Amino acid sequence: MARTEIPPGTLYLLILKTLESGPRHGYGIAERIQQLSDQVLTVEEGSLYPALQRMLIKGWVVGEWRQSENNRRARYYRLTPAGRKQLGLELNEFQKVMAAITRVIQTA
Amino acid sequence: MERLGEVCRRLMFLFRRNRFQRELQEEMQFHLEMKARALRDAGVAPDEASSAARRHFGNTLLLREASRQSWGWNTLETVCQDLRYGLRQLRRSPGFTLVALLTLALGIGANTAVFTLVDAVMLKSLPVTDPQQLYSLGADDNCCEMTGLQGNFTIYSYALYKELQEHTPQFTQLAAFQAGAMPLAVRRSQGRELAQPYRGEFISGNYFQMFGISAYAGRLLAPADDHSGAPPVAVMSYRVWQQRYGGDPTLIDSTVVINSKVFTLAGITPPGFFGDRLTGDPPDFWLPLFQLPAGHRTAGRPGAGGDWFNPRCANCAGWRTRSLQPVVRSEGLRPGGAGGRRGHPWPLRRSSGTAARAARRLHRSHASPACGVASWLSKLRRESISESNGERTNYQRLTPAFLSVTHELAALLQVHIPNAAFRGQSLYAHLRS
Repeated sequence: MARTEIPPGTLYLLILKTLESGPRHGYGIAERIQQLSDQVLTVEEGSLYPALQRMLIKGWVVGEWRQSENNRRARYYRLTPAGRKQLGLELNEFQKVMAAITRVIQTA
Repeated sequence: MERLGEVCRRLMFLFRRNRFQRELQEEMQFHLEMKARALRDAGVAPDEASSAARRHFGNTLLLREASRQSWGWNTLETVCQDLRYGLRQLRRSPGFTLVALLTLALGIGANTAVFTLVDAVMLKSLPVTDPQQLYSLGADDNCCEMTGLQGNFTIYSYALYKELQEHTPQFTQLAAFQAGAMPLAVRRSQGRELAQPYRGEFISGNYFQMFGISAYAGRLLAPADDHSGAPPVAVMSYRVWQQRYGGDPTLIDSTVVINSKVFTLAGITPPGFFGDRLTGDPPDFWLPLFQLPAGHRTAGRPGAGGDWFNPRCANCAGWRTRSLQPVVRSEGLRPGGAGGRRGHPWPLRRSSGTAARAARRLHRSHASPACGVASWLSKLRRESISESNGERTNYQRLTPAFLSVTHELAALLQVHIPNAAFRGQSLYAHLRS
């Protein structure tokens, strides 16, 4: 299965967006991103967990330990209001950049 | 606000490191299992699934380390680890540790001791008001070498003292005091206690005023106490009051017998005050100049004109000269700069010149100079008030020099003032403005 790297700088955006619909644990986040992107984008665990830690430090998410679906304990990450604000900012930024890139491509 | 929250969270991490590690480990384990299960559901064999999952996951330890590092306490943790390692090594070689500790202890102890001494002796100012305004008139703090030819004159006669007091307005206060201390035998006038030996110092009336010292109890000597005919008054030091008399309040305003003369103990000096110089034997009592006992008026050879001020007078029995450094206080008098009373600028050099001129006037007005007065005058002009080169000023600030008075001087004063026949190699200067 070909693994497409996530464009750099978009990992936070993807994670935050995934969490917008509800709290998930780490595996759930990776799975959802893969699912939503039709298996195109795969999040490496090596980048997922450090990113989650950084988001914890910055206060965009909070972690809670809960029982998962198979009765195992897992840490569920939930978006905070600061996280929502950050999501909005990142979205704007991303869309701005994408529009700019698209313009460049189209005029070429 | 967010920064504050972030800082708090980072700090909390410090206290929860172990829990953090455990939780991270558990989280990754969970992720692994979920991944293995997904693979099994996809049809892969169970054991292969788990190993494949582990492979895909990558190095968990590395992941944990990366996660841990993002909290930002790496350096601190590394330093702590190194410290612990160092301690373990030290424990393993006790001999070396002991020697190292001893060396450190000796070094630190010695340094502390030296610094404490230097701090007490050199760096702390005298516990008086505004020590930087105090200056010494005279060349040296010549304590005890009074006989023989003196290159530098630091002793003054009372006449010069008065003269300077009247004619040098740039000095706010000029006090005179005996350079050394005189042994006194003191006992209470009531009761039958024996007289105890103490050290006393004779001072001019404005001594305490010049220093800006106020009494701890009772009152201190005032100029009114320092003229002939004034009732004898003495002042006790706080240390003696506490140590020898237990802080007895009845002592204040009581009569004591000092050297067989009845004095009234006017008061106690404040606890920190130890006199005008740093000495191992500070004075216990302060008495006015005019109370100098007649027996200490020596001297030498009255026939020769009573040259007891002559430092070359080797036969001056009982004559003690001390170096006298007049201490002057002037609010505006700054070394090398302007100063003076009432806003008149008056540089230090000019003050010394004025003092020298006053001395010369005195000299001229009274006949037969004692030997060495002329040389003293020139010395006074050159060196009398220490200038503001660095160490000198420091020294002045630290131990303001005072005029010391010899016993004979005061005695002479009592005897000879009416005659207006002064000889003096020791001169007091008391300037009062």
